[in-house]
Amino acid sequence: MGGEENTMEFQHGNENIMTSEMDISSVSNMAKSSSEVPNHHHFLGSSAWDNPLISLSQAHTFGGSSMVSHNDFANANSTYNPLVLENQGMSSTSHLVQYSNLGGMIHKIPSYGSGSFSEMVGSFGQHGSGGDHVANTSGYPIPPQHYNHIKDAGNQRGHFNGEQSQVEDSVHEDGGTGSAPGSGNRRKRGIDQNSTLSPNKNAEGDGVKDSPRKISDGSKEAEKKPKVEQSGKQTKDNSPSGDASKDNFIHVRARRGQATNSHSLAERVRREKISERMRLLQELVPGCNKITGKAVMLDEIINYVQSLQQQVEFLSMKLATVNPELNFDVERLLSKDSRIGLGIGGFVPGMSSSHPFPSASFQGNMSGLPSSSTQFPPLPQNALDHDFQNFYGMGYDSNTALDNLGPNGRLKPEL
Amino acid sequence: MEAQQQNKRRRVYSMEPNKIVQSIFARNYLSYLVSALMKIKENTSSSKDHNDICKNVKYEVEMAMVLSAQGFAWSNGLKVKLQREHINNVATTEGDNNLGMEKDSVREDKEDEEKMKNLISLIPGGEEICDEQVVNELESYIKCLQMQVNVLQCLIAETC
Repeated sequence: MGGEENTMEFQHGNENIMTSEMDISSVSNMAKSSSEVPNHHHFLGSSAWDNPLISLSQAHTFGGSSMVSHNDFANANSTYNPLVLENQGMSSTSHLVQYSNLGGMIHKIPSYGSGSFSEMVGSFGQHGSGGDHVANTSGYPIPPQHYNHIKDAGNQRGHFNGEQSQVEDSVHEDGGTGSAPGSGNRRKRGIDQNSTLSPNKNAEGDGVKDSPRKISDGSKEAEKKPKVEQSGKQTKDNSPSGDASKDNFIHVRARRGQATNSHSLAERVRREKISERMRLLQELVPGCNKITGKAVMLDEIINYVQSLQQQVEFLSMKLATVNPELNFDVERLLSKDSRIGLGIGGFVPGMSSSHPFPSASFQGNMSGLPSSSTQFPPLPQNALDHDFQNFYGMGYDSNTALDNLGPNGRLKPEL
Repeated sequence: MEAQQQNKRRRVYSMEPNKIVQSIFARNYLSYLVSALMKIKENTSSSKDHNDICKNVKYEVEMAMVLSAQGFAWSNGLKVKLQREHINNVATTEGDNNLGMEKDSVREDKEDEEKMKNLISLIPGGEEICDEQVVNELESYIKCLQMQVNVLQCLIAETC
């Protein structure tokens, strides 16, 4: 994925892009709980998105776009509001450092590079329902101190570099206070001011659940894997004490009739987080769009993953059988990889012009590639064919290309 | 070789970077797998046990997956598992995961927990993935599985 890394090059000097693209005033407004969602949707969808991908690492754009997405989320589930607001505050730094994952908002940026962000935003967009303001609609009151904090942060955005230190202080706060009330299994991730979200480092270095994650330099900030964990959770009893704007705790108010034990609250928040993300998975698994219900959804996903794994295994076995007859043109295959990778029209039978024996018989779209650099000596295939044919009564494959095998006629009847 | 130059993919910033990533995955996967299969083929003699070939191919298939999708926790887990198996010469099949789903009638949440655990166990190295990452990892894993299946199908279609 080297290519992607280039796009995420951290660029300091792109503030022009920033300001031209982002409506600062509307950003501040959002912090004050007025919504400009439609504009931001447009912003995201604009052709200038290429640049934002590059400058995504800059907090400004990222703050802007993350605000949009968060805003949408805010409509759907105000549990995330504290995180939304917090992120807005923090992301006003020019180093997009910390991504304090307070309300459990995972910025879903799998290391698919910059594109993941647009995907994330896109999926967030689905949740947004007409741009209601952050003042929540589903019963989770936002503690006022968060508003204040965000308002401050929002105002800061007008001066990107000037207020940087202040916001960064709040970011640092996170690291300091985070571990104290740490609840359950959440650990504060390490916070560095220069953060990369190189998925390599994260995945390989920190495979363990509780190990703190270092966020190294900011060349890939848009690839923010859900870095940091929430610093802690507090019940509503503690919320007044969090008046200081530096407080980064999640404030969860227990709903009526529910336990207020901090552990169960944490559990509940965690569950809701997961279920929220399950919805994102729905798009992946075919045919899950109509399923509502976590259990059914989970079942579907499990079945799907299992079937995919079985399919891989089955295909690899099949590949083993046809392995001796490998004579394909690597060039040709690679040129088609865009289609292959996207699974469009699964079978792309082609001609292997390089090799005598099946070449004439393939139907195909020979795109004029020269015959390959890979010429493979034909193995004594006859004996092998027979064995394999008998071993795997190839009933499952009805590919018409197979029918066209000329000289290797033995293959035909069994197919 | 000029064709190779022409086909070389330039760095492109796209409106849909995901497509590029997927293409790159497919390309990496394919090139690795093809060369590995070539080696297997050349090393293969007709007297070799077909099971061995199967194991090798399976190994290469999964290794290609690991190498094409670096940076995910599951790809790491897969790599570890492959190394372990390779050393022990044990070819386990992923599809045989025993998902003993207990029907826990006590609370729905517990059932969900069980299912989550099962799901996580499906992902290679899944147990080590922290909860926050699970969905991300799951998503990327599913995508890569899909692509892998497609690549394999195309490969087979090409060579048959």
